[in-house]
Amino acid sequence: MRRLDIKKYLVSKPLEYDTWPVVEAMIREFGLAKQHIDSYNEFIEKGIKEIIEENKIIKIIAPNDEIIYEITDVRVDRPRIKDVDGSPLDEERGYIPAVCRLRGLTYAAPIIATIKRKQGGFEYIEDNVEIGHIPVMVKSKICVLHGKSKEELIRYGEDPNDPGGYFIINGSERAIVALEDLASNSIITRVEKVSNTKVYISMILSVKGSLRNHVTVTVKKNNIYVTIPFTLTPIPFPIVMKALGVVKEGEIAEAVSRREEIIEELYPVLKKYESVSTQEDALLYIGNRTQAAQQPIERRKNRARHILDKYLFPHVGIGPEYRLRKAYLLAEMVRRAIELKLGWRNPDDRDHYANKRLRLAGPLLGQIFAKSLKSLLKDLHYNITKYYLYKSRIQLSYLVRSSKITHRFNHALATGTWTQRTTGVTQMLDRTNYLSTLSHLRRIQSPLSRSRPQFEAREVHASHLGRICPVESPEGQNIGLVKNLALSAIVSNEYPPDKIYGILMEEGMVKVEEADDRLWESGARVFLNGDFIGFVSDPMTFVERLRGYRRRGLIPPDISIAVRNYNKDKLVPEVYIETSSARILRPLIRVVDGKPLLTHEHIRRVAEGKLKFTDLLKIGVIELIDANEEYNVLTAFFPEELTKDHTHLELSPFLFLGITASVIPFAEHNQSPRNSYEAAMAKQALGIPYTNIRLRMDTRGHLLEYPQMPIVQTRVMDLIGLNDRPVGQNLVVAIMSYESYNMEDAVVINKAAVDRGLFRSFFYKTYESTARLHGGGVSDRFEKPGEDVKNYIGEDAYRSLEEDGLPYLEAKLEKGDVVIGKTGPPRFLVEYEEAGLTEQKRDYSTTLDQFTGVVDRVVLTLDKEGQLTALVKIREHRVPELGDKVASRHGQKGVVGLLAPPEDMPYTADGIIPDLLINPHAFPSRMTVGQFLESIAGKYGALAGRFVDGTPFISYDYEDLGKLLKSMGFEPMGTEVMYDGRTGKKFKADIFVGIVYYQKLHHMVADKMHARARGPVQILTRQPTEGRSRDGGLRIGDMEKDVFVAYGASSIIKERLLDASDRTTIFVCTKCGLEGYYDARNRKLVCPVHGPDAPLVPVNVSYAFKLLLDELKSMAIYPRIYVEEVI
Amino acid sequence: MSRGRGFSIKILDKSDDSISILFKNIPVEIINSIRRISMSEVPTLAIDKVFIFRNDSVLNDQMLAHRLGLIPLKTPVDKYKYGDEEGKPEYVSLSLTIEAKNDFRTVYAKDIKSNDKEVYPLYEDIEIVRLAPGEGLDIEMWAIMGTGREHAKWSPVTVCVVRGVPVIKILKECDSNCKKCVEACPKNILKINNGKLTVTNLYLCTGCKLCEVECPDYIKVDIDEKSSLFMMEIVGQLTIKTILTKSFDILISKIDDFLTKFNEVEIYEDAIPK
Repeated sequence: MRRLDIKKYLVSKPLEYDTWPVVEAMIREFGLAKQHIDSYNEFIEKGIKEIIEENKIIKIIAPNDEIIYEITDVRVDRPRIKDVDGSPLDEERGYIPAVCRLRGLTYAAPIIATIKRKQGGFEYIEDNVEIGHIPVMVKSKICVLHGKSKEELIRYGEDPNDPGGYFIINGSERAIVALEDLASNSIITRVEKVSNTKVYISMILSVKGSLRNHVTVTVKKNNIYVTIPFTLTPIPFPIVMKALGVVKEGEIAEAVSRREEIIEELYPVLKKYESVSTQEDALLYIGNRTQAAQQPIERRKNRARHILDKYLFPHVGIGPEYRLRKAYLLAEMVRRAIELKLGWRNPDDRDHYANKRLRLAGPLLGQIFAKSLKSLLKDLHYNITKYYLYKSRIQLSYLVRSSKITHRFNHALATGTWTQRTTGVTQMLDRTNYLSTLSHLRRIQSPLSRSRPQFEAREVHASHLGRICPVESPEGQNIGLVKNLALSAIVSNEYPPDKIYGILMEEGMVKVEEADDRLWESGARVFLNGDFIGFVSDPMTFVERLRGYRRRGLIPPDISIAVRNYNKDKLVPEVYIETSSARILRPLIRVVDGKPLLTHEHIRRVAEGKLKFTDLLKIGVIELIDANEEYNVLTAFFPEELTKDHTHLELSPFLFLGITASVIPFAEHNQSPRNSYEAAMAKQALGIPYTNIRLRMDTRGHLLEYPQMPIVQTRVMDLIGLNDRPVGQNLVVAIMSYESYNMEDAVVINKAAVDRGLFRSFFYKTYESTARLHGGGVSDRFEKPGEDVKNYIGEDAYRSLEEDGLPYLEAKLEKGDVVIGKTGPPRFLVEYEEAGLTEQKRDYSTTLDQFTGVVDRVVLTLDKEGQLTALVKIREHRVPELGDKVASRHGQKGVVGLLAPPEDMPYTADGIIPDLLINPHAFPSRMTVGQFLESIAGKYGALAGRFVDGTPFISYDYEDLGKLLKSMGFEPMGTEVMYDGRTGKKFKADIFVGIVYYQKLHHMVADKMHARARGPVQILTRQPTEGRSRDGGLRIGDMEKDVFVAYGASSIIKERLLDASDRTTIFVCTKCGLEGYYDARNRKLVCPVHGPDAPLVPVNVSYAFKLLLDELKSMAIYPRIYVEEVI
Repeated sequence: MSRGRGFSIKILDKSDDSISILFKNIPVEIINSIRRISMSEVPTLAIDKVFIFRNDSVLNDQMLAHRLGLIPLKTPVDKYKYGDEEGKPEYVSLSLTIEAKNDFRTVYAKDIKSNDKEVYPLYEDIEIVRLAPGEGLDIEMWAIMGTGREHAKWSPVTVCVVRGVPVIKILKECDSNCKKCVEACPKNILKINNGKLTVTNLYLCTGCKLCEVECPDYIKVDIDEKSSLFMMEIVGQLTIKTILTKSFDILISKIDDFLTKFNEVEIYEDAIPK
């Protein structure tokens, strides 16, 4: 049964220039978790090889012999692991994501390395060795689900709409949250204040492979320092230049700039280090400031050379041939810092998205892989050496400890700990509803500390437009640090820069080394991925011609070509070409002469499926622009705004919103924080999280009984598939008070509506129990425990169990009933053996906590260790009740305050009884005008039998909606004459009634209701336990206490804080003030000091106080209690 | 107001499942009582106990039972026991046994078999659940009498309205070319006939006063609260007549109960302050 085609029934405001089919094509082609999947694929195909390339050689030097092992190739196979019995478990034998989730397995694939041995001048045959398992990203290229059709996916037990992009580790789904990093390989300048003097800093984070090194140039009052990795102190700039081979002072100055003002700044610094006159002297100077300072001169110099060649700017290149290029890059950094000092340029904006990159699955996994590979190879080296000494035949596959890599990966993904500082990289995938899953996969986390204010970093930045959703961010300490990708955001993929290099040369770039004076003076500097490679004389034409290549599809669309500082007084123009990955791009329509290149013809052909989005990129109609290139772009938001000056037009005005913000109809009419609240709340709404809910055994989950597609749609909703997995219901909502039952954000709900199925839901919870294999062939057993079993809790509790210890389907279970019956050997086996009780069994059954439900599904399976595991899913039927939380799509949340009988509810002249009454006070201060518009639009939609388009920025306004409503014979403002159901009399005021989409949120009274009179106490302190799950007490907190203090109700305080908590009676010796004890044998109270005849008096104290006394005594402190008066 | 005199009842419109009546000079409270009682106190039959022996469908047992409960059943008048009535059967037993053999099959209300010929699902094309090949249902149900107060499934009416009768006064002749008031009315009640403003269908007017807002000097809209317009649409378990007479019976018995109780009350002289 197919669902309704929304488009056929959608009433939309006609647009002159409607680019929707293109947007649709874009999202359909790219998918919603594309960034992660792309990044992962890139890692599997290329990244993993690059890391192997860095450390592929194991050299073993033995007396008279040299053995070299070389990893010549590495690849990742199809998902496969070893099953418990040692046999390979692959796709054919059922190693698929659905099974991994059920059995608690890790979904992984083997990494196979080809290793070649060279010994004594001979090359031996290559060996294929499994070096570990890498977790497989669901729906990546190596996943078994890749490229499967809808029907096949269903056969594989999947929801066909599942976006993929997460991992399955030990049966639980883990999503990687992308990390937001400062861009590597680009110069960033800043001003710092060090004790009242300003210093000017240019910094670069140079990254190549697993090398990550910071280089900082600090321009101080009369010196310039460079911080180089592995040196103990900062090195003066002229010395580094000299060490790199630019020896003459004049050359150094010229490398920096030809402008007098700058040279003037440089002059004193150059003068200062004139004495270091040769390259060798400079190298020694640096070598003296390294760890090698105590070693012979030649060693010191070599050390310096090594550092400069490998660790200084590794992104430029590794090796001595790159020294000159590095010198020029360093001079460039100095130039910028001096320009900053002279006030010619402003410090770079660290929060600008041009200076940000995302760290996605690929590089993150690469980090783990590189680390674990090193440790594996170290281990292998040791093992080979050992076996070589034993002269035994070396079988590589026995010596490779593949578990090293496997465990590292599993541990990192299961816990989210990457390094000691970076934690929380992976999170349990949010499966509350479809929307929350999508949003989770598009989340971005900033590594900045959450405790410090960092206001700038948290604010919405202009460069976020179209890249980061300005609406969706959590409230509280993470505000602005946790972000989400906008709908239009496309993350760039890497393209080899050498492929661009030829084009640059062809288009008239002159290499740095070959540049003449004229270029140095006035040419534009060209940076390719942060590497200063050359000059061009006319940057604007150069850049336009380069863009021409991109627009003709000759180079990928995600390459950024930008000019900065063009035509700026005193500054030299800079051309940036970026082919790096993890930049966020956004699509824009190109505009020439005030006319968009994307024509109606294009749109029509895209709509017909004859033209793809990627084709539009190839023909240069649409361009992908990153934050840096956006400096060269003038974009119009709406086509009507286009002028001759515009270069680009927004693809669609609502695309700058993220996934969750896009589901808010008429969002542009709401006060902005309300949209943020809704973006957070939509992720808590109940709906259909996935269609394979009957097959899955998730620990917790909700399912809404009758989810509905909203009558008021946004176009994005249908596109992301939310209409197939809706999260709420359309309610008839009247805005009026009702006898105080809806004050303070409560809502009144019509009981008849609830009777008919409104907001009913199911709650699922899975209980799990494993029959553990103990040593000596003893194991737990699933069975219905008999009366002879230790810890037996009574026949009644086991009534739902069958002989196999598992409950029958649809069995009703209540709190305290046994869900899974299991027995096992008693805990302390030895003691029982001594007592001759070895036969006895102990009950290890799992009992139901807190709620009442029926058995939905029982699964018996083997876990990854081969132990029998029982999973029992319990289902509870939840009918809305007082206190359940509901919310509209405009950040208007409330709790059910009353289920009113239908005859008491107000009704309209047509006899319509609202489903929900919301208090008018919810609106004036919150200004959620969008809800009014939705209400009117929804009312029209319901009357006309149509869905109504409420997409922000391009939909109807108030007057349009009024006309539509009036055409259906209703008052255009949405108000109606209403009558009081209790009296039959007309209300004096007209009531605003309409249809609003409401969500039931997962905060329900059934999960939270709790009260206790007497109950369990903690063992240590004897105070009542805390929390509902432990049947805990309700705390009289500090503020509550203050009420009683203020009132002078001292007896209540004493009762609550002492009598109703941990009161104990101790016996205090009046002579010594110590606590006595009761000697049970002699039935006498005894003082530890004065013996049995001491004068002991009973004193009521808090047990915690008694503990304090004991603790003091243990520290040899004598706590003495003086008893003044015996009451 | 002279009690009991001058009142009139006029049926404006009637069909099998709906009626509208104009009551004149009867207190709205009484008419509203009828509305309230007919909604929630007239007993009908509905499935209440469901015994599920087999359910392979995608719907959980609770949801299936809920759907079955909401199916309206034709209710023979006074045949089944409600409350403490005696000598009547307590429930009707119904059953639903079905299996989808080789193809998908939608289960409809008509698939429900009843033990009593007079009790049957009113609308046979209500979809209950869709079964995949091989899935089946085996369900036994008891329908019992109940009222809408307990659960909406027992309510015999869908829409029931008591509202005031609109009175549209045209105060003076106006320039008939302006048409502002005519256009303002969402129900299109006002028309200009031969240059005169006329009201075409008075009872459609809800009293929204949009026309009055446009031309306050020429039109005045009021609601006559002494008369009421009573409109009812029913589900169909009982006929409109039965529902209305039952409602009156219940109202009268309530008043009788009240009177009986009142007469039993002893009046103490001293209780009244002097």
